Amino acid sequence: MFRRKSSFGFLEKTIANLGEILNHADQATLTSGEKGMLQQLDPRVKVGGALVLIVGAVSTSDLWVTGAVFLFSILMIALSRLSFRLYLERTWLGVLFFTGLIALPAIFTTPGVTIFHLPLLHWPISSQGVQSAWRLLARAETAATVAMLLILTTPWTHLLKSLRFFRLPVIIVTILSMTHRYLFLLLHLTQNFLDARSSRKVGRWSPSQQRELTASILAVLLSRSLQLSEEVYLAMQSRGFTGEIHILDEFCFRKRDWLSMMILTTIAVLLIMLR
Amino acid sequence: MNLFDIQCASYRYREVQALDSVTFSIKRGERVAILGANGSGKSTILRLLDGLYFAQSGSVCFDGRVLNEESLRDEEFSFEFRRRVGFVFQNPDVQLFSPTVFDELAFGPLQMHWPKSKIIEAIDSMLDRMNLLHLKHRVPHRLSGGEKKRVALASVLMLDPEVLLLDEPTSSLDPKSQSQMIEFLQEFQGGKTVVTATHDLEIVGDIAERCIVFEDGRVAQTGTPSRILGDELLLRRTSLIHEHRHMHGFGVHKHPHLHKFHTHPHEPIGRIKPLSESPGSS
Ligand SMILES: Nc1ncnc2c1ncn2[C@@H]1O[C@H](COP(=O)(O)OP(=O)(O)OP(=O)(O)O)[C@@H](O)[C@H]1O
Ligand SMILES: [Mg+2]
Repeated sequence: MFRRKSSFGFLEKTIANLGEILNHADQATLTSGEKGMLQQLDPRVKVGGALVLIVGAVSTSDLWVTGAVFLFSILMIALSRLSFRLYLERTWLGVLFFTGLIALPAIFTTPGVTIFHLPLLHWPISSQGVQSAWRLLARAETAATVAMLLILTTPWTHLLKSLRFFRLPVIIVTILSMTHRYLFLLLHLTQNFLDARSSRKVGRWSPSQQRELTASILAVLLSRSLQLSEEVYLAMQSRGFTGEIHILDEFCFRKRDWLSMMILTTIAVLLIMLR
Repeated sequence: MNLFDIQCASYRYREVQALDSVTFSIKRGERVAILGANGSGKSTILRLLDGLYFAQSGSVCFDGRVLNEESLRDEEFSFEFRRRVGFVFQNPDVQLFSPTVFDELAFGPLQMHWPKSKIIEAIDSMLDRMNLLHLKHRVPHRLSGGEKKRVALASVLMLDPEVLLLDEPTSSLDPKSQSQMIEFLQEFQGGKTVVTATHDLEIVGDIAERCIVFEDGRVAQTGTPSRILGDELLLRRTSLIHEHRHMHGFGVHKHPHLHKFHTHPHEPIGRIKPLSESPGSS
């Protein structure tokens, strides 16, 4: 969505990425409207299920359990007609990168039986280190996969309403819903701001100009965002918003919801027993 | 009986005194224009009228009841108040936050616990009425400025409020949408109270029977549109008109920018005079 000179600066790349985020959010609206398996479940079941699976996968010391949860979510991705490519690009690679950053040092620093020395640097790699890094990565990937399943198959407002069902305080749900609404505004603002700047600029930005621009954008955005977020809230208040989430579709439990509940309960019990 | 009663209301943002002891009232069913230059406090007074901000001194009363934090904490009153009073913001971006135009229009009725079938029906007829049916499933934040404005208005009108507060309703509309908007506001009368903040003098006569002119957070003057628009000194002092220079043939002249049809004695052709010397007329 960003058409500009071939030599992109850091700043322009960042903004282009922001534009991408907007597209992603639209994507979630699209995928949650598909007629896949998870899309047709009651959101409350999904939130409960995701909670059980994430807690189960993260708290267990048995990697097989984490692996099982991961495989289960793979199955769900397929049954819910989500694209694996989307998953790879937006979830798995990102988590791999960020968790990798955290996990990598652990490989070298965890004391234990040395199984290998890094060539040239001669840093020792312990089997315990590899194991703990691997465990961290597996847990993070699994948790992210499950969370994305929930997000991609549930309209945002439904998700919020089911969070209320699980007794999450009004204030937190309000903050979440505001954040989501507000994010769009902020991204557009950023984009307009940068577009306005670059339309006044001839030629390329030098690195120092870029730094200057970044600083000024951040300053303006911060103050604008405070003001705008207040206004967004006022506008919602003006139309009767009190923090409680109301949506058009009433949640109703059907047979498949009861069935999924039973399956989830079984999984939860199994997870507890395995620990 | 007065619907709104504003008594010596003041409001101060941290560093700016936006409203300074403002007093006026609005009758039930009246159509009022709030005029004023940028920063004169128009948006702020509308926010006070909508119970979003509260007067820091003085008072704002709606239908005999004072608007303050305490009265709006009363759920029953605040529910009634929100149902009866609709506010279209100056910046439509802050007002549109739902995933689709449809959801946007459903937001207000949902807060008011309307039954589902009624909501769906009302949305369709509103979209039809506002010529927005083709945008029903679009993402609001991807609409054009004018479309956003119309969706924002439609979403407020869903609750069929008896009081409508409009902040710059015609800015960023193309001429056709603008005249549609004005037509709409004229039709909208039927016992409804409409308060419009604007600095567009062209539309004032069409949308209001009384004007309140703001200047630096104070009420400078009130009166009928024809009286206010005829008071050139006042308009000039409150920066609602400015010297307008343009060329006719080769003669440059200046006169107040009133957006009215005008004629002037022209300079002799063939000579361009320095700006400052041109004779004024209107
Ligand atoms: N959130 C805020 N924080 C601080 N000052 C503000 C804020 N909002 C408005 N002001 C100031 O208060 C004064 C009145 O603002 P207001 O928005 O009411 O003007 P306005 O008449 O609506 O102007 P415009 O025609 O530009 O919309 C201005 O001087 C403005 O700078
Ligand atoms: Mg304003």
